Amino acid sequence: MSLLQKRRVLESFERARATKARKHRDSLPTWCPGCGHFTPLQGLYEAMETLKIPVKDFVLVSGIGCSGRFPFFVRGFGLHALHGRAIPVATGVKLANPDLQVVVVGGDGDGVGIGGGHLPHAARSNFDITYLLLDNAIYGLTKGQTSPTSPMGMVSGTSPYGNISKPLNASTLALAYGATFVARVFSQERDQVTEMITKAIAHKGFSFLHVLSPCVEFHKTVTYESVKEEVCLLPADYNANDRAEALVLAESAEPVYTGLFLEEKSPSYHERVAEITSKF
Amino acid sequence: MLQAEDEIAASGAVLGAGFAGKRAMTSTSGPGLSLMSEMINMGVMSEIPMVIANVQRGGPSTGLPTKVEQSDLNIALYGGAGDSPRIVMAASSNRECYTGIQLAFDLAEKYQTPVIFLSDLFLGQRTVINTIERKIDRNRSTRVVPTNGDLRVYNRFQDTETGVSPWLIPGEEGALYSVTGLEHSETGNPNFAADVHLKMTDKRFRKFEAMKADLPTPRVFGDEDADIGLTCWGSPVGAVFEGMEIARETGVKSKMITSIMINPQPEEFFQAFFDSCRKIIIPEMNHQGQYAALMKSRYLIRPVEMHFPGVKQVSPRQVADKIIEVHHELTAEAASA
Ligand SMILES: Cc1ncc(C[n+]2csc(CCOP(=O)(O)OP(=O)(O)O)c2C)c(N)n1
Ligand code: SF4
Ligand SMILES: [Mg+2]
Repeated sequence: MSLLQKRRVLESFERARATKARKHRDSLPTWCPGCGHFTPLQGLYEAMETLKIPVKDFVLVSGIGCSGRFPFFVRGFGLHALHGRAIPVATGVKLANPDLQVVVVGGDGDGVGIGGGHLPHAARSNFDITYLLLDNAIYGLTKGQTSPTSPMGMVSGTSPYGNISKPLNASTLALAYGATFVARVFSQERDQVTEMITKAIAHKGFSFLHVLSPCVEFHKTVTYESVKEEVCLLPADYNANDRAEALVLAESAEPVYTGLFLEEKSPSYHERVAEITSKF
Repeated sequence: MLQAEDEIAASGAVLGAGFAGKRAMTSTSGPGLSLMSEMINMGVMSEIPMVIANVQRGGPSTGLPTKVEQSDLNIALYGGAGDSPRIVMAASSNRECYTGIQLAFDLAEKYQTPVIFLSDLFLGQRTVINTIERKIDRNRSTRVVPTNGDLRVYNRFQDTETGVSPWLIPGEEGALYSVTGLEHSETGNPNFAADVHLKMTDKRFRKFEAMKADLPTPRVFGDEDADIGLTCWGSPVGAVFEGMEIARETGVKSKMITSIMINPQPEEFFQAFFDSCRKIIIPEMNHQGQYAALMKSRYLIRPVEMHFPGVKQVSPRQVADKIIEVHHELTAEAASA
């Protein structure tokens, strides 16, 4: 690491320190300076503080990837699970002890690539867990391969002539699968990220937060600058209570909307189980 | 009960529940076990108890979903990446399914490691009437709970004499930790240093030595003074015993040793049994002789193997014929000596 890079890391930590949330930090993040994943980490610290979640009841489950390293950076219990398998593991934790506050973190490769088959089921069952999908449209940890959310034409080691498969839109998927809370945020917008993480954790049921979180080390085309050009806040009068409308807005590419697409009240999996067990 | 979307998710939920300190199990057959192997490996690495029942069918692949075979022993013992020890148990009767699964949970929780519990189609589709000797106690726990001393500087993977670390569960006061499928130090933080890997691998295997104190004594049937010994596992135990009886009616004596424990095994009993035999016969329902291979490497014996792959099933008559044939060979050897 160059001196300049080291200074940037330290600076980003000074910022983190300065906030009320510093007591939630565990070991130092190992990410590249400027990585998009720092903002949701910071947002999570702040959300934990705002929501007064006791650390002993906080379980962070992650997949594999740069994003998957989250649990080591947060004070609480951590389960660094397998690539693509954070969601089913988290449902097991929640089933075993519903009093635990369970947050899942994973990357785009992890969540909609290898583990894409689990998202629909956690969403439709409305497990009371929060899922932070850190989407950098690339496999960061393994040094920059094309992912299921990479734009068409993206050149990488696994698509040397340009990606010829269409990218998946994680927000649209979560909406289509029936998640009861779906929002999209941009990593550069710290307040937005923190606010949405707090809301998502407070939500009863399956909450899905799609974080546009650039990989500064490997992505040549999806960058802070490119994402900034594309994004736009949802219209101020938008109500976030109509799934069909949410789908249209989430699908939009020009602009790419950020904000809360949908928030719906519906009994969580655990509440439904309790309803059954109360009959015996 | 949770109906998961696939076997990866089912084993994942068991792992998650185990992490949260609850006894959890899942069951599958054949190809499902292949899908679970990565999660089982994670259970080994992150020292989380899991109980996985595999009701064996014929294989490989989708195989023979409605036929019996004992060909999943190898994947149960060895399936998965790395030096990955796991407890493997095999019930030989429906009663043993009931009592054995309780032992499986006790071992899994005490030693913080996955158990693969093998049954097969014969046991899985059989209805029997049994008296219940030990009711299932849902609050039972064999967890090694951390003491206040342990909590002063709590290391989730503290290296102890037995290899078993005191285990604090999320939601309990006293310490916080993360677990990972990556190699890690005693704290639980990822660590790829060579000495750490050596030490932690040794710890994971040492638990299996300590476990030997908790294993049930193997069952031995037949004539103690017989020269011919048999060993087998799982549902064919009954058929093999019947074969021994048929041979006995013709005046040929034999004896059998069997245990619900495949790995680890109460080895001194098996070794003493084999030492007392002049010939050993191992019948099993697969093509390769998977159990025989294990017995050969573990006890350095040279058994007569009987393989009944797939649909063929172990027949008492064939076992009896083999016992009688071996008896004649031994008699001829003795005469020519
Ligand atoms: C079963 C399995 N396959 C492949 C890998 C290798 N691998 C590790 S991380 C990763 C991709 C990570 O990309 P993403 O989920 O987008 O996370 P990011 O690093 O971008 O945050 C891959 C393919 C693995 N660990 N396990
Ligand atoms: S490789 Fe990319 S995703 Fe990984 S830490 Fe660096 S910037 Fe972040
Ligand atoms: Mg990624």
